[in-house]
Amino acid sequence: MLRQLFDACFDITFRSFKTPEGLATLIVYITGITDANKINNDLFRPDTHEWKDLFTDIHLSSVATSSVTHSILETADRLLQGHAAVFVEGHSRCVLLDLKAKEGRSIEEPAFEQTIRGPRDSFTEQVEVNASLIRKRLQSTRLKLEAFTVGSLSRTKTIVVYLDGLVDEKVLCQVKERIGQISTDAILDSGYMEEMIEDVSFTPFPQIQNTERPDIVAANLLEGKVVLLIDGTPDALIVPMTFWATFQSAEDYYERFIFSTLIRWTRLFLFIVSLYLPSLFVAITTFHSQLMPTNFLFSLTSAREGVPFPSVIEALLMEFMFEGLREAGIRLPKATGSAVSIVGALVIGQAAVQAGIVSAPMVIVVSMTGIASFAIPRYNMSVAFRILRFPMLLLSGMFGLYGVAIGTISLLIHLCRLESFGVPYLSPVSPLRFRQLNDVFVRSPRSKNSRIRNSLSLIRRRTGND
Amino acid sequence: MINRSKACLTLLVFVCLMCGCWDRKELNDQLFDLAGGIDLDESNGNRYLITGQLFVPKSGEGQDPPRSASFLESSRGKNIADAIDNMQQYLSRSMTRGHRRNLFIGEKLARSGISELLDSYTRDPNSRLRTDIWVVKEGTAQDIMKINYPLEKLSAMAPIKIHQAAGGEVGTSLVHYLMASKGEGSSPTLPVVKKFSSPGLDKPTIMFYGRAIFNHKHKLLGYLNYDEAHNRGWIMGTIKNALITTDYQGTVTGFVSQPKSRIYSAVSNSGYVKVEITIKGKIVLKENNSSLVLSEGTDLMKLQQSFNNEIKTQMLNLIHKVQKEYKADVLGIGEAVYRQHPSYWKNHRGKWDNIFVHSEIIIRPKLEIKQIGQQNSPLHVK
Repeated sequence: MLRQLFDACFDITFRSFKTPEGLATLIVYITGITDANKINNDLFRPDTHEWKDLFTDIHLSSVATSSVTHSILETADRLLQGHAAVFVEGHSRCVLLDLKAKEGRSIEEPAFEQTIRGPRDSFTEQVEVNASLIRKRLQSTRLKLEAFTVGSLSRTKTIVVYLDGLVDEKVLCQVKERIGQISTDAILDSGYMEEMIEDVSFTPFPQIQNTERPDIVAANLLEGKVVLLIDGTPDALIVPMTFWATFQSAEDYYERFIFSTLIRWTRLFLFIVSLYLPSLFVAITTFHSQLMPTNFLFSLTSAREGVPFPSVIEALLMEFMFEGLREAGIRLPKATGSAVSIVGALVIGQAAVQAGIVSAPMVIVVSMTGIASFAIPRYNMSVAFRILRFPMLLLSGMFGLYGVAIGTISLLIHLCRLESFGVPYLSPVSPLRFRQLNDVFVRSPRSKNSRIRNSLSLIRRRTGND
Repeated sequence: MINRSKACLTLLVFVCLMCGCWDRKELNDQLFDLAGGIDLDESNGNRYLITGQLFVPKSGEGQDPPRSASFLESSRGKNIADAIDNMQQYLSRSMTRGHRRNLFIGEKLARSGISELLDSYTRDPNSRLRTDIWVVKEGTAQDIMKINYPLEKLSAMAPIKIHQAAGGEVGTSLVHYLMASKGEGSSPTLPVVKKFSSPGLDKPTIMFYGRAIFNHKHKLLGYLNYDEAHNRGWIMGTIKNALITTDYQGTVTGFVSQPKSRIYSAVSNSGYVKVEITIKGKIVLKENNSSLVLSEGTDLMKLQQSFNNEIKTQMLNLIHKVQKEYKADVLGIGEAVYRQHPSYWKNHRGKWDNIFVHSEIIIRPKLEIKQIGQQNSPLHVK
């Protein structure tokens, strides 16, 4: 029966033999995902058991967590998860041993969310390891990890993590409901899941935050958010996400609050730069030259002398080149990466200006924009603004500051309409909630910030006991 | 339905893109007018001769050999807009007046009235309100604009910087002119420049002369020289510091910081106005050629008295000049009376010019010496 199910699967292993008592025994497992060493060492070479006890229940449960089943389908299911099935003659049952191979990447430093200060571990592809990283930080029975299986073929294990009593129940219900409604073949990455459960797909803005840092996950759990761990991806999903999470970095909470607040304002400013600088530059130089100081205008005019394109086209060209360079930088192997940066810096920065194709101020504007977009701690958010820069540029090229204003207003309307799991995207700024503002534009000190300092008091207030 | 509205929206976007009525104007299609000069010109029925100092953008690196960054162009016209339009016929880029910081008016034109050009200036929204308008004493606007001032890359910037260095307000003369001509009782004024040859060097340069006084019909009445204009600024509260030299057993010069003034006015039923102007300031001595021993209180008091007498004389001269010679209130006295006696003003505003000429103005100087500097008596005093 099992052989039929696993027809044409070369990695299935059947090992049949006779025990010393003369009982025919069959062990079935899938090579690779089951720990063959353990089978060989623990199952066949017992140090603690007599030979006659081999393959009795006691022996089996001493090797690994075991369970008993009579169903052939369940057996197949478990085999695919890395269990080993033991059939012994004379019993109409199968003992399943959890002998999953613990292979995979070890815990490494976060690759994208680096900080100067703070923990240096990051999530791996194994959901069990990831769960343990969270559990280590929050050693409480209130930390709940509910497992779901998603994907008819991938059977991906998805864990919903939350702090009981602290979590927003409405959000939690929605998360579970949306996960339950997913009907798909496979979840290969957290991005699949993100798209399946997000509120609106037709928007450049992410409505679910992702992170590879367990400390960020723990902090968000303490704020009452829900976290999704998905097997096979090193990113955890955090819901709900608000727009202001864009400007929060893990480090903000580890450094002194004055510095953190200043840095947060810097990010806010750089975010505005990354969205508006090219369009404002184009709008002001081609529509409202009166807005510029006279001397600045004259040096700009001098620099633009002989440039063949209108400044909108020039800006679009440079932005396009910059995006190309960035994309090429990601694709290229490390060894050739320096070549790209040399070509980028020399060809675009220097030669294009000297050849009179683009003006030097435009190069400065575009590179400032590029640098500013890297200062946003959330990669998916900075991608959103990279995209939005282009329509903004077109609008400013057509209508000047009026177009920039139109673009801004439509952007704000869009952002105000967005929701992430029932939470308005711009909250707590719009709708305004003063009590929650202490972690938006400033990072207030912990002694003043009850929400950051002690979430348990919140639990007590809600449940009235504990 | 949704599809139809989407199609409409797309069409609308294409209309915007394709109609070609973009207001976009590249920097290099614009010609920036740095300074303008307007003179009276009575040939062939034209009235104005305008001169523009136009910016020449230099391409390439900044290490070029220094070339002139601007050139002059002139044209004639019936009015200002007509003259600019005429000039456009031989300019390859469109004139942009938004960055003009200076406007020079020849003396002849100023005497015949400047109300027309002020209208051209204030009606056009592209024109810059923070323009300084200068009257060129004893000359034409072209005289000044032809001078190649060595310090500034754009020689049109020179008068502004000279004015600034002399402690005056910059960028406000058009606004102040408009305010004074619309305000209660006062007559408008403009700063004055003059073409000048430096002593011994025989090289023409631009000199800041003082202020020009206009009457209510926007015609030039006359000038106040540098010191008089500075003293007027003291009364109006627009200067930041002043220098004053007195002669008391030898010359003594003091630097006045925090110059302040206050105008008190009293009115009688017959319509007669009495004005009292208090002049205040703190003096730091800069040069002392007198034999006074400044560490002694009595000598210091004598010197302070001398300074006060000096400023009083200067102020009275100024007042006499504006009151009797020009008969124009450029000291803000009408404004003070209007604020202090509004009911009186209501009845007498029409007659103010006459009342001003016959009012009694007294000066109460209250200068104080605060620092005598690092020396006590000069070296020649044993």
